[in-house]
Amino acid sequence: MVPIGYEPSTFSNGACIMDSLWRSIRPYLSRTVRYLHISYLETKSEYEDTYLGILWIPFSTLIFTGMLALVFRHSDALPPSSFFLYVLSGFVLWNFISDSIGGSTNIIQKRLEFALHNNLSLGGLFLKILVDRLFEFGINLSVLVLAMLFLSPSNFGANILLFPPFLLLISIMSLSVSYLVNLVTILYPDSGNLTKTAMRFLFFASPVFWLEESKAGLLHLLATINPVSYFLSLAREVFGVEPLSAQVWMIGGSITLASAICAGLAFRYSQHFVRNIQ
Amino acid sequence: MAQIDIKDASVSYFVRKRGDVAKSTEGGAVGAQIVIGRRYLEIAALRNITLSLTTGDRVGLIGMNGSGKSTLLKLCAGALAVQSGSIAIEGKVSPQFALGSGIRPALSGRRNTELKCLYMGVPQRAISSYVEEVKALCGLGGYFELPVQNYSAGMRSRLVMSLLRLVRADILIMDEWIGAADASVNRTVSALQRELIKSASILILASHSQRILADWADRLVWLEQGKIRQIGPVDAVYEEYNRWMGSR
Repeated sequence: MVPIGYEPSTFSNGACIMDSLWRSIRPYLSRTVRYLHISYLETKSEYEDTYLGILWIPFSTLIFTGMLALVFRHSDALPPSSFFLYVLSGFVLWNFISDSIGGSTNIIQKRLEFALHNNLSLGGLFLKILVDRLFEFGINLSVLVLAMLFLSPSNFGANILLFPPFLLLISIMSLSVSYLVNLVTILYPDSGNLTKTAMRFLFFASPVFWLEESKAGLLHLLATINPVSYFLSLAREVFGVEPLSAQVWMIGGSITLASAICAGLAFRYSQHFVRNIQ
Repeated sequence: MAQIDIKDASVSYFVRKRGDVAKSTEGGAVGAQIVIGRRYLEIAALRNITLSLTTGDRVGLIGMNGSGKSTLLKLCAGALAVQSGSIAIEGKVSPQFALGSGIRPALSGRRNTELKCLYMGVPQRAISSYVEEVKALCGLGGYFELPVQNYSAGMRSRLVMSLLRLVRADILIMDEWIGAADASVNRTVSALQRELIKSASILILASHSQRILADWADRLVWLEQGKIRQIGPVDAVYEEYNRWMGSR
């Protein structure tokens, strides 16, 4: 019932749309915040016996990045601080990618029963583990941002606006790859060990600590056919470490879309029977 | 309204072949039939189960080891899927399979309680008061701050049963451990357990204890070799079951 003197306006319609939009996304935001809180508590517990606690995450990233930057600095084209930022931006995302693939070989086998006792479905379990990865990624990202502010503040530009789509892409990619890796490992257990070995190779075959342009031949080919290199470029572009390239975004988006379709189909047709394989 | 509707459902476990698979087909005193497949051994845990439960039902499951009780519970909890037939579930399911499932042994009682609150959807601002409430209920004192892996079985059962305070479910699924608490578990915790069972719209409970089943169930499902052998009132099914057990 419309009150007397009330005239619907564009403003009220807009407010109404915003309100309904907020209502529809609020449960998801609330769940994300809840999962982040769980991730924080679980991660904190892992480091409970140490003096530095959760600070070991950024410290170990910084220490390892420093070593990589020191040992593998091979080009005079980049000053040491720029090379350090190049390696750090790559290594921060590499950690996320490595967790997404290497850490997904036994999710259903080891964690489904725990999840069911804690109000999580199979899909919810994978989402929760994605939030765990994003939480650690966020900590490492804050190290990158601080390092950039300290070493090269001019890198921050309009590119940073691409961070939300970048985050969306890597989240979808991580979720998709995680389910696919877990499914393949359940069906072919040997692939679990193969994945762990392959991750070591992938680390060296990805431009985490070497510059793509400075390599020719096999390494250049590996960087071209290796999907990880495109996501590393995306991260570096967002933080102004590399110039923006529409081609990289298109390839990264296409890889994500293809993975999401594969994982969606795999989930649809396998989510039931995989639970019965032991 | 809560509901579980199982129609002609069959459930198998698939176990990867290891060693001399021919020996796997030897028949034993307990357990379901094992079929050798191309890549897997198929354990036919449930066969052609039809069962319909609705709000108010309190069902106990009985049967020998390997008869399919746990499989049926896991099916209702969503931990397993049907190979044929169907299952439809309406309502929020809370499985309580084993004492300690759903908690992390390496974490303290306090941290486990905080996590349980978050998983169960307790509002953030209410978590600390819930944690203190659970601490008081379980009566663990200083042990509440120590890792659960350092607890005795009795201490663990105190914590787990106190955590039941956080469980809200339309369908409550419990396997065996309901009787695991020792006599020292205080009255409040036992009352919580009773309250949880009473508040659930549907209870499915597997146990070997006639007393527990008589207390909580009003109907029994007797499973044998993955099939339902009899459904009926507790006394009648138990009488038949005990007679059958005596004749074996």
